[in-house]
Amino acid sequence: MKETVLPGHEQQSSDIKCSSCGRFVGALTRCPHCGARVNKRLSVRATRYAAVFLSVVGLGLLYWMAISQKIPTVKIGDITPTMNFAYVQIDGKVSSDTRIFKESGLVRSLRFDINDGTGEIPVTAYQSQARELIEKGLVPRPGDHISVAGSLSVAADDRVQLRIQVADQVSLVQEELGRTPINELTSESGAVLIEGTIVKVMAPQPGKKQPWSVLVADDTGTANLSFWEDVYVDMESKDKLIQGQNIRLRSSIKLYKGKIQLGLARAADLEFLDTTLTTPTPMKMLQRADSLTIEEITADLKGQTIETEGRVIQFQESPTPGKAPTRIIIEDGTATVTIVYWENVTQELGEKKPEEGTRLQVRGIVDVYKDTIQLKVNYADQLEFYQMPPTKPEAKPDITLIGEIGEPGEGEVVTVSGRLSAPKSIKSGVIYPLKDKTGAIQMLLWDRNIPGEFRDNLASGKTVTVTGELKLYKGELEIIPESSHAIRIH
Amino acid sequence: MSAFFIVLASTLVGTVLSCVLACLPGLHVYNIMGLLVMFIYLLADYQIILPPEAYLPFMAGMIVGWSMLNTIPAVLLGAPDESAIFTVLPGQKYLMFGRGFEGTMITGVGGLAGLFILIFIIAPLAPILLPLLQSVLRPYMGAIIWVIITFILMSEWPKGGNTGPAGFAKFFDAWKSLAAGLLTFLLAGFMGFILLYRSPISTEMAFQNIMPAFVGLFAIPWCLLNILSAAEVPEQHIADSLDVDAATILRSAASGGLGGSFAAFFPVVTGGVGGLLAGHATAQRDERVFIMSQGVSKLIYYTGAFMFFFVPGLGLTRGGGAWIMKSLYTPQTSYDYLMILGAIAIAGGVSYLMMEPLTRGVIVLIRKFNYRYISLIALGIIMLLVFLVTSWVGLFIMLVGTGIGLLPVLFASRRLNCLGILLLPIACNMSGFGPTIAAWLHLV
Repeated sequence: MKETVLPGHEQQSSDIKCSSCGRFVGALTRCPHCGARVNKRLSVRATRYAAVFLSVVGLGLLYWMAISQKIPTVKIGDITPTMNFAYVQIDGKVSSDTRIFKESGLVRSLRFDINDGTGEIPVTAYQSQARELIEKGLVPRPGDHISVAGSLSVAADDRVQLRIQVADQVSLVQEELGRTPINELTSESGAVLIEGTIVKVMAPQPGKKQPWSVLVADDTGTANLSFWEDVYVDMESKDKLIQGQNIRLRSSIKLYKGKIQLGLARAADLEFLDTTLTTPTPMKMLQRADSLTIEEITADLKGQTIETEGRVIQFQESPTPGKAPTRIIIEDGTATVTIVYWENVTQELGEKKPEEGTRLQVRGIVDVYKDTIQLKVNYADQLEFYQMPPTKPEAKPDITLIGEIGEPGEGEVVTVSGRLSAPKSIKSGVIYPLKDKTGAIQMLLWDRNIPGEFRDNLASGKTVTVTGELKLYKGELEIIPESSHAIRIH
Repeated sequence: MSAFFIVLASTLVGTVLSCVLACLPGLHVYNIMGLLVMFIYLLADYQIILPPEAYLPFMAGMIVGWSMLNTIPAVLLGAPDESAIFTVLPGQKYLMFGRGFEGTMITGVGGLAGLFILIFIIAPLAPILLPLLQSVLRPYMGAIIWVIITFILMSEWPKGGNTGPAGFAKFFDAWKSLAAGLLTFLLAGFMGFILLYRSPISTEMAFQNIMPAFVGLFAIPWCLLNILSAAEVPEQHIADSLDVDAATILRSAASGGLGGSFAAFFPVVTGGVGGLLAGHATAQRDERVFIMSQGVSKLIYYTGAFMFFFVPGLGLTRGGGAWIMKSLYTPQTSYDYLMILGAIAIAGGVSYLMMEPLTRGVIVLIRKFNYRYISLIALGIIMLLVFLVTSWVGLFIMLVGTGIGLLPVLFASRRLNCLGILLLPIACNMSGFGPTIAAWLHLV
């Protein structure tokens, strides 16, 4: 039967007609003519809630899927650039010291390297994660077995690192190391335990960013131990860091200018031993064929490479580089010798110039020029300058009670001791209020005087003894130490 | 072949390719760049190492061309990416009045103005000012992101509830779009946490973790809407002049330049957010200024963020393009910077010249073919891309993203809320408690 369409209703949608009787029903859901139900059109509101439902359910599924999957374990050698941002687990052995970076006494980050046999990767934890690792005693030492999960960051030129997101995902098995003789150390040694005797201690020059350098000897050889000022500050028995002291050291091997070097990231990894080691005396260790006193350097050795050391007594910079060499004269109590080097070494040394009194270790070729013995140096790394370390504990300064300090005189220097309060940053420095039982004074640390690394060891609540010039600024007493050596942290 | 010709050739090829691809609705340049980077790695596996002079200008050309021409689908096909959200309403108005060509070209002029700002103002100052600005602002970046989030959420306004009897129905009517906006932001943020901390995407493709979600949040809902839409596109008039003057261009450049620069410099802030902030800050009311400033903002955001990656001594990685490049190349000297600046300038000129013929071409296309079919083809291409890079898991993430991305469309709230996927987790991370929240969610 042909459907009747009312005139003018040809374009009408079938949705507004009763599908039973075919008559117009408009928006009604039941036909007013025959009573039949009229098919309902899809409500826009329904699609909205369907979308909400879809997204919430989908998100729930995604979440379930995410937490159900195990964090994938990857080999360092298999990491590719497309794995940037991946959350992965790496199992391996800690291959470096853990460096802890602080700012204004607060731990900002820590960093160590892991080696899993297929490669090496630096691992970093920032702020709260780094602090949590320290609090939980999860700071790895070289040689420890570690399993750690985190986000990969892969940059160009194979610069890859893993960032720890939660401390709970670090699992550490501390490894007990056997003693390694120094002559068996190689750049591949990784973590080692060294037992030996301190032969020589070289402190950094005041105001210069240099590490401490300690020559350690055992019955097989010598090795240089290097560490930064913050490690020295953390040492409980600083007075034992002297020549002749027996030590046990857990360290990682580093290469510096092609030479093997022992690293020390934490003071706790250096143990001062009270027992005597069965090693030959350290000074005897230095009696090697190529390490001579200046007196022993004779013209017969011409052409041979030898090593010696002494105190700089004269430094003559070449007035005409390229035509005349630079000369340094050193003495060691037995004799003096002239060291010569040319422009290329001067350029390599840059700003580094020996001052009179500086300790100098040199490796050079013996030469005779106008009947005078000389040591010829061809590379800058054949010269090592050291400041002489204190050979005996410093005398205790007289401590002035803060409450007893009156109007400061011009250039008046005092030593005070007290507890630090919360610091306040100022332009080019930081101020720590320092209190003792009699009063308070502002300890003003200028950036130019006190390096950031040292300031990182200061924190509110710590007790310090400080020597510095007194100043009165806006009615408040200030003490201004000249260098980090003027501050002792207890 | 000398480096000059390699740079020139790769810039031109990248620009032309991206100009053509930009005409497809919903297709993002970062998706293509991701594929290209994978291709470069693949070549490296076969010991074919491309010089940086070949791929860096190519990528620069891709970004410039796309950011200049993606206005074409945004205006003519109504399928914007998140940075072009604000172009849609006035743009669609132009389209419905038969002025789609003019609307597109006005945005293009904005893009050209943006390039002038970038090359002649921002580029010379960037190496001097940005490292300083970066060191000053770095400790406060987290706080800045939170302020932006607060502004985005609080500057949403109730749409409805003006008429009818008082009571819950009226209250609900007024608040439903606001609530939908908040819900979108939170759901997207939750999804961001999942994808950043425990993405189901395989670790081998982790660098594209967010890509399927972005496609779902922004591209798919608009493609779907275009396909389902019953609107007929009227005949478009090809104008031989534009209804803009020097004052309009200057006002647009100022407003868009501010927004684009802000977005390019601050982390996670995109062109859309920058445009929103600059629009409020400079209070521009003229529709032409609005459209043109979006062109300026969009271009400065995409191209500027990429350019900042190469600023000597800055070390700033902003925007998806720079992040994709980071795993491939480390800029070293001003040689790289000058090369990129040159490539950007060339690509800008070429892409603007391509704007007119391509706009005409798309107008002819939508006259001959139903533009729903074009959206359908684009949808197919995007889904294929997602599948190729991230497999079935990626498609599932895209589907979930689509659900969230449909909320603002259906509840008439801002699509900008979908950016919660990055804003929320990154702001939490920058404030130092992101990992704690991830741990509460058992994601880590």
